[in-house]
Amino acid sequence: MTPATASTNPQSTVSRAGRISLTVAIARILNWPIYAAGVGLAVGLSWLASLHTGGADVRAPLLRVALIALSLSAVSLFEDEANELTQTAPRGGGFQRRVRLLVTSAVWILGSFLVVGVGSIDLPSEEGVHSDQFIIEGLAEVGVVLAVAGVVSLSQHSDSSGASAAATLLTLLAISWLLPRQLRPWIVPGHIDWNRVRALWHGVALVTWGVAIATVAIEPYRALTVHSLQRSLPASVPGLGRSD
Amino acid sequence: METLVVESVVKSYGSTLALSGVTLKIAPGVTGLLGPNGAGKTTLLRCLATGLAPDSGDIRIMGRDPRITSDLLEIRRRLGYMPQDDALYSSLTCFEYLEYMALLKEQFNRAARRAHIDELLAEMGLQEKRTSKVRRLSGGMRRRLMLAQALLGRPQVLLLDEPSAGLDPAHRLHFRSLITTGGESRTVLLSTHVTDDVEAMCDAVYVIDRGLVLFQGTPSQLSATAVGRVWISDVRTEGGQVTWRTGDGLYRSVGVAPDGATLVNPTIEDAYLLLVGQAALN
Repeated sequence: MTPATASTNPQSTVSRAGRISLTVAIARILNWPIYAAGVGLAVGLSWLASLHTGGADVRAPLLRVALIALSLSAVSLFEDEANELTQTAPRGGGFQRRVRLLVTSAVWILGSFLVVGVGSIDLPSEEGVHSDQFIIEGLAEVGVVLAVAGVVSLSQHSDSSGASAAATLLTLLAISWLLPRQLRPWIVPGHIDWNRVRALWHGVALVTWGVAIATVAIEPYRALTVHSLQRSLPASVPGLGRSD
Repeated sequence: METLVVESVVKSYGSTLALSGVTLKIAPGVTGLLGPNGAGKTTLLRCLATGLAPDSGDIRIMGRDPRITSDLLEIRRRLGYMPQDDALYSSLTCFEYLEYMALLKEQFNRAARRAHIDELLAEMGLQEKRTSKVRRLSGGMRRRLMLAQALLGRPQVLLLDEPSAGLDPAHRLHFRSLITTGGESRTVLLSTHVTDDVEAMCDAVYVIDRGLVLFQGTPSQLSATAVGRVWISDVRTEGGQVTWRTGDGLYRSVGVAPDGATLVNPTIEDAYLLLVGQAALN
């Protein structure tokens, strides 16, 4: 019997083909049925919105619900049924998270364009700015989701990154809906400065996406930093200092 | 030379202290980890499997420090882990599941990987379930599939959390054979409630409870701690820390034997009950 131990296997250095195989395998085990259901629901809602002959103000509520449904279904792609096990595999930690983030981002962006596209059918041309708003709002929402999911999945005892992200998203949405109308111009289109709204949401989207990407990109740096920190702290620092 | 070294490891979840300064050194061979529910066994195994970082203390696995990134990767390449709960993808077939886990373990040579997986499926008696969905497997089959993934790559260190739970007697014996094969060169740490498994397989045993090591030694040394403290009687007697009625109608007790009691040779289970019972009383 020939042991296939990776460390003794000359192919243990991850080749391009290996990365591709692994990426395809990770993408394959993602929770696609829930996301597909979310896309179906979101597209259905946006199609219902498109039946209205009015402008973006009329279509806004349904399109917003559609985008939220899409975002919530997208976070299911972060859930790993075998997380306790996969995180202990050589390529189960950072690499898997990076692939999940990339795949989730890609399919979410495609889904959101589809939803907004369907919802914008026959939208009066002067209202096009509202479609931009939906896209920006959606990107910011998913940025928040991915940032939370990324941060939670960095924790070594995280079995439910997606659930945490979904809960955070819903909380943020609930808070934003509770705000007075004049304080939430991104929720209710009306007599507002669209340039300001777009600038605001561009900023939110950029920051949240930055956090999301950083959480999966900085793992080696983080490990080294934590290790150095632990070595430098005295033993008396509870939970951080080395016991010796 | 110890393969696994744990020194003063502390781990807590919020206000719950799971490990309160555990120290142990484990050499190649099969070592048992006995303890009641909530003793900290699973937390200790998760720390050793590099899935959980201790709050404080040192862990060395094959001389490497899991806090160092390069060491962590090397440890994970040489380690097999079978968690207590089934970590499976229900929508995959047995073969697809093992293939995915093999890829995560960097087995990128397709032909070698597939041959290895087929070999493991045969060893586990799951070759007929090769194309069956994981969700259609019985509990025992799931455990065998979990064991197969732990053995992917023939790891030098094998961490098994309640591996024989749900297995029927025949598969339990087969499982013992699989675990002990190569046990001289491989380090196996076996967390279990089943004292028979410890007696049958283990060179060394640790008993832990409430995050503390209560005993370390060989299985025979463990049973020896109960010499003179196990007796049988026709009726329930005083002094028994734990007493139960056996199949032949007698009462078997562990604790402080009363004068004139009929002492019997203790088993590992007797000693374990005595140890854990004392810890509970204290």
